[in-house]
Amino acid sequence: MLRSALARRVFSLLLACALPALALADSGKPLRIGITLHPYYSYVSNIVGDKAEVVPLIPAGFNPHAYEPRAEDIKRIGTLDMIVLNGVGHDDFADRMIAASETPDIKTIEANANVPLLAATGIAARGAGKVVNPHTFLSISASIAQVNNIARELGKLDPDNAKYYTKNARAYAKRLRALRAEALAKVTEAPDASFRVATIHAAYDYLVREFGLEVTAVVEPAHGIEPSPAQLKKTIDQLKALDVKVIFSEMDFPSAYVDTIQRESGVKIYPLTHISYGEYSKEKYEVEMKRNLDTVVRAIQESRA
Amino acid sequence: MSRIQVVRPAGAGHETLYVLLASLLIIILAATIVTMRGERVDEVALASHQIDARRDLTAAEQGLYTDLLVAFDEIQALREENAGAPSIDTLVDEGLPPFVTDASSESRGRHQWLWMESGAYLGRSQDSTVAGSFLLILPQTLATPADVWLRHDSATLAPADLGSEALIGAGWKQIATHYDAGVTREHRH
Repeated sequence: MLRSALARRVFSLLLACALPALALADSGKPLRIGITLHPYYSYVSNIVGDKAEVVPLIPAGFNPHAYEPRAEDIKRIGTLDMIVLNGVGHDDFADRMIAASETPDIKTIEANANVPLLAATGIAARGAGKVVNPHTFLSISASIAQVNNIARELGKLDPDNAKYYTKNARAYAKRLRALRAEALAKVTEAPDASFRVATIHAAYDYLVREFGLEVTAVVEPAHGIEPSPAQLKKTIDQLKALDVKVIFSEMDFPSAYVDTIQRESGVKIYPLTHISYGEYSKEKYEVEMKRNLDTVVRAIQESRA
Repeated sequence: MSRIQVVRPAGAGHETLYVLLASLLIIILAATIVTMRGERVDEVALASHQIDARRDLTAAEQGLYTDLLVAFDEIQALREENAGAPSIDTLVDEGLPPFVTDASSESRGRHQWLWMESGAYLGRSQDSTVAGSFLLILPQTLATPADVWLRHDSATLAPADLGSEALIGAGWKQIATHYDAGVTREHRH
């Protein structure tokens, strides 16, 4: 009995001596930064370069709209130093995962903290204007605002590399701006007020706003919920009445009823991507956003033809 | 002689009282729980000279406002590097919206931007039905956030005084923005 107590004491003493050494070894390791959605993987990878490791909270292949946290994903949070969040409604699952993890007090960065947010539209617009449209990552400007914000906050947590993060964020922002400028340069004549746009999901308000456009109608009641035949008929009548010129649909989540809308209303449909599917990569955001911008440009050009 | 025995009703009066008391207790309990666990109403109060970026701006103005805030980050970085505010030409060379002329600026009111020596960028709207004129005031220090004002008439003259009182008097409105975290989050931030 006495011997085991003594052994415990000796062990604790040894552990106490070893702890500072462990902490030192820890600080030399690159930071591990958690992210929740694909665009944030690209943002953070471009900001941190080789100074940190970017770790997705949910593995590739899961749809963030329908994700239910799994034990191994929650466990992984314990190995992270901080987590970057969308925070305005696209990754609300992350809070529950963090609360259930070994590190419920882990530092989080709210990427949208000072991004001007738009109100949610359609059925999501409940709650007296407090529900916002969370798809800020589908706009170049709102993305740059988030990149700057993440770089600033990362710099506060890792002051040694603050200048490096700012430099990378500015270079990345410049590349993103160039993407937008390139797309806008192809629109030789600005669309006028008669160019009315509808979307299948209420996700692209931020994107079309960069072209000076506004979404006139949203077809789907909520993400993944298909309209009933009666609702579909009402929508088609509405699209005709509003004289909608194009509809932006969803590339990653195709639905058969979209074809019905095109056939019945005669409105041309162009697919955009939500950037929330497939493998995580540093280049993904630029590649997919370029495709989105090109699609909007094509829609504007073909509406004149 | 008949003995009259008064038989009291089986506690009717008391029963009513007990039922009332029990109801009251349930109501108080429910009210306490609702008050403690109910959703907080975080109404953000705006001053009379302010407008809300989410509710009070047109689509074009919302786009312009976001671009201005993003440009402001870059302007602050350029100020730090060159010890002075960048000229409009520099901002155009950097490809910074809303200072560049493109299809987007065309459909958002064709603003004409000029730098005011008093320390602000003024964007005069050429189509006030689409978007008003903007004023981005540069703060003295680099760590201070952007200060953006909007005016809806087209005949905007450059304000001589950038003080809040003078701007309010001239009909400018300060744009205010606030953050609302996702409503289904575990912890509201």
